[in-house]
Amino acid sequence: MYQEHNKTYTDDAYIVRMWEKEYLQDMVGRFMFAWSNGERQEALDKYWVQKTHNRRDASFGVNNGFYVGMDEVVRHFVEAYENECKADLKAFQDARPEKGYTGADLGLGKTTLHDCTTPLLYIADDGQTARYLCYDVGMDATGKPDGTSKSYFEIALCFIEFIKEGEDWKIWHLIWQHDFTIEAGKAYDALPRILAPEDNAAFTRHHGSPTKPFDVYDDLYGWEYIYWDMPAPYKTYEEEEGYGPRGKVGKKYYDRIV
Amino acid sequence: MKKLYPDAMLERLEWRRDIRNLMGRISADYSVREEGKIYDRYWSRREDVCLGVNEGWYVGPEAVAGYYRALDEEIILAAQCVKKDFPDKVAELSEEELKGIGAISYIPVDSQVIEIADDGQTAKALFNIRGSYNKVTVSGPIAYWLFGWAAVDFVMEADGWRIWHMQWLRNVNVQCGTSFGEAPEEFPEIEAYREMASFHMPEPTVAVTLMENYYTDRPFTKSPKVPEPYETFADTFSYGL
Repeated sequence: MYQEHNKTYTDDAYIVRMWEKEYLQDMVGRFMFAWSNGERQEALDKYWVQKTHNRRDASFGVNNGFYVGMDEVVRHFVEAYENECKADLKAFQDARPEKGYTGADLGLGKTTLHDCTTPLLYIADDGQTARYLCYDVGMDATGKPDGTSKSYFEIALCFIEFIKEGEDWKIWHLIWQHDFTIEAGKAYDALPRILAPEDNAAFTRHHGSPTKPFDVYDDLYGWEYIYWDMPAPYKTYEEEEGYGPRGKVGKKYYDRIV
Repeated sequence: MKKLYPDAMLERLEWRRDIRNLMGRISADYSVREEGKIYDRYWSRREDVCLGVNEGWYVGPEAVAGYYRALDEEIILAAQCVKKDFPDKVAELSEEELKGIGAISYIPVDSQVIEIADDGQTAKALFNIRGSYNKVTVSGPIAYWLFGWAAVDFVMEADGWRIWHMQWLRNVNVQCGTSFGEAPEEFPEIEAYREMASFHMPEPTVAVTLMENYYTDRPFTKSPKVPEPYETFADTFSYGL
């Protein structure tokens, strides 16, 4: 089932497709390093779509909806993060003025890892778009002025849709399905199995207020959709099968065309 | 960056796989406790090799080889301590079979970015390290989570790609069961493991802090630089000293 379509390529065309897959895999690696390094605006500038019509349609999906258009992606991916870093730094400065945190760079006390492991990747037969899925098995820690930290193991699925802009591949749609968060230093059996909304901040802190809110991924019961959303061989981009806000990810089973 | 034609792409696809295989083999060597063979198996024999860890640089073949030799000595010593602790269970094991027992080292590398120079003589790669291991201490085996990076310069030699410079950095290296940045839990010493106190890694040739392990008000710390396309090594940065 997971064979490429039986399309005939010349040897050279086949090699170029292999090369492009390597390039895309490295590009996701670059994006993940930039994300972890707090270089978020640079990551969007370098790796995301640049053409006006694609920028308008670009999207970043999280569990509770899609940020649509690059301005909205920036609002979520860059501005919300920077505001969080500023608030964290201010907490240090207010609580411990004797330590001289004035002038410290944003991100003091933070460390984050995003990664891309176990990828699936298919380039459309027409060579104009590609679909990708990986695990992001990472971690995230935020130091507190009292010397403790909020530190978590973070596990997510990351769907990405690429599009060609001229000769360049760019990220067009990305969905970060946050699956679960485990607080570091806590035993599994000491953690609540189902969180009350007021205790759910560790899970929902990545969400924010999407442009188009709806249940993209239910981290309690969302597993049933994953199979159908995985990348598979395809001929050409179709919006309803894609990873954008009008695509299939997040649709309930009864809304899907089987 | 020069334009590549399919024949060159194919060769570079093979090289990229070779580089991933090499790093995969190092990861596997950690898991089967063959760290002592890493220098011989994968490093260049050049005089200007160097290995950077959080505490500084091991510079030159003898220092780099000595680092891995010390890891091997630690594994052998740890096994002797485990043997003392569980004499009935391991009494029948030969020295060879005994080696590596009592400890586990799971150090996968992923999220690669690889760049091969246009001239095909060198390559650079950056990987995330996301693993766990246990360290045999005077209090017995203690488990840790490890998040860090492997940043590597490779050089093409007669038998293929070899490591020239490597940074092997620990970003979060925390005892399991503790929150990041929290002080590790202290455990009482165990008589059988007392000899572990005699083990110390060799001092780096250049003792300098390349990376501080995470603490709760650590300045924001990025990974080593991500490789960019380059023509020849003189045109890019080095992961070496």
